[in-house]
Amino acid sequence: MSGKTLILGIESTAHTFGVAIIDEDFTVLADERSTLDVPLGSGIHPQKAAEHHAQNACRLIISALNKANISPDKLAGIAYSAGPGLGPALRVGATAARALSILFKKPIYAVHHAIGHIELAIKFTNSIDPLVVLVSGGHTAITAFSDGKWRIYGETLDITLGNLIDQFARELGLPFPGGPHVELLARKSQNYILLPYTVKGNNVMYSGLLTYAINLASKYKLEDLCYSLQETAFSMLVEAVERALVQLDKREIVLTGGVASNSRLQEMLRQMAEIHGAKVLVSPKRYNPDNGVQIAIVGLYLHEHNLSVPVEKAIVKQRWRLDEVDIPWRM
Amino acid sequence: MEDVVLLLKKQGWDVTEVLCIGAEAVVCKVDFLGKDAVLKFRIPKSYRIEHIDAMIRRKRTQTEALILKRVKEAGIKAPCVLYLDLQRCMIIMEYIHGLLLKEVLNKDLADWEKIARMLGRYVAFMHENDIVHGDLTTSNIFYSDGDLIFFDFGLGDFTNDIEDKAVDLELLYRVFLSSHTKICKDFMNTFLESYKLHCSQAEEIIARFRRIRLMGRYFAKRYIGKNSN
Repeated sequence: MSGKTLILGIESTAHTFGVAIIDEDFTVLADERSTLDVPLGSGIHPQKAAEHHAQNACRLIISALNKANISPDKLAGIAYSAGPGLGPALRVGATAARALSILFKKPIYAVHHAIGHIELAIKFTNSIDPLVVLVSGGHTAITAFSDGKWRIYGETLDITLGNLIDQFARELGLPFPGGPHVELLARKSQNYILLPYTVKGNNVMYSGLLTYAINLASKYKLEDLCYSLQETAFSMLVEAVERALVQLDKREIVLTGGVASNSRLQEMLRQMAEIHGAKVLVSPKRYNPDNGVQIAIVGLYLHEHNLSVPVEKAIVKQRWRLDEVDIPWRM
Repeated sequence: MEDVVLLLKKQGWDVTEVLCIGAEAVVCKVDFLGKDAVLKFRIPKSYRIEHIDAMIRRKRTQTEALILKRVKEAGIKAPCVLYLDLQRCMIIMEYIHGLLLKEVLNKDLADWEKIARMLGRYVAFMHENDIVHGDLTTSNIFYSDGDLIFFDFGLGDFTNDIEDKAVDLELLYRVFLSSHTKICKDFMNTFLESYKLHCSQAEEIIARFRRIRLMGRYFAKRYIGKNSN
């Protein structure tokens, strides 16, 4: 592996601290992760997440270097997730990245977390010019590349699909993350309960649906509610995706982010895409949750375009839209 | 999608031309009782469960037909509904002869000021009557005999919500920004001037319109307090 460009990526936007090392051919040499334990009935507490990250950062960085079997001076650069996300959690990753950068005199790259999800999914599905559907705890966005940026053609105007499912699960006593539990329960039902369906223009809104569904908790069986929640929330999203697909005339849809692992959502998108002669490519399951690889991949692109930031400017941005980020590597 | 046209023909519709295949509906020119007419059929979607599919298609078809009727009562020109089939989610309406406003503005800018004033007045009439268009673009308006005719109220709704009305203005602004860039600023100013004259809540709606782009997630500008970055 001597001579190859190696990038180390650090992810810490939410409950996962991830450290990955990739080479210039996108081979994953190390992918270390640790995730905060979230107690039943609770969510991601930002301060607890930061404590977890601080306790695990050094261990995971050393472990990643050992797995990749390289010494830090062989790295070409350090990439970190600069946002958007939870401030306290983000700052741990940024601090670790700055320390490595100063200690080993390596350039540092500030990566937008969502761009990481998008670029990883495209790379690992070998997609060309797709419509990307990013569904996670932080994002619910329909996006396509155009004129230097990832443009948004539909998004949530309040909470994300991940928020919706996690909060619903929490209120109904299911463990975090709620997605897999809600999906399994939903499979046991075919009994649809009418829930509010809110599509505005090409955007979706989930907060009313969440409140409404929680308020029905004592009146219906849990599996019926899970089924109805999924069917309603996914139908809303897929409708917006369909409009964007027709408008932009794309041939491929790439599905990524934590909720991408939901097989009902995948099925719905596939059935929709088939009508329009498009293909659905799902990001590999292992990389749907947050990870360091997605940060390292964008770090590699930034490295190739000499877009490092001075270490004193390597800070975090809790609020940072993905359609603000310049994407020179796709120009 | 060709299947849909075939299905319509099988049902006895005399389809003479497919006008538009959208994400939601197929729009065809048909011969209806010996006259040209437009058939809009909301296609069933197999990806969503029957219950949700039927509810959405029926509700939207019903709303669209009702809006077409109401806007005419408000003094706005729109195709006349000739036949409504809620079971099949189908509207048959008057066939309009005219040029799309988009084509008119791309070809000849002579009338833009008059058009901007007229558009401002009509959109104000809609909003005064608590109707929003939902997809107010220059591809959804005809220009014919010096007058504007509105169609495709497929995303329209009856609402007195300031935000819904602001969304109409925002969409129109975006269309001018991307497709009629040269006249965008002047057109929007004239349009809003006229809109203000005819809409009682104009001030509030315009104020919301100026903020509406900040509604998505992670807009740093939206947070007025100290930015903790």
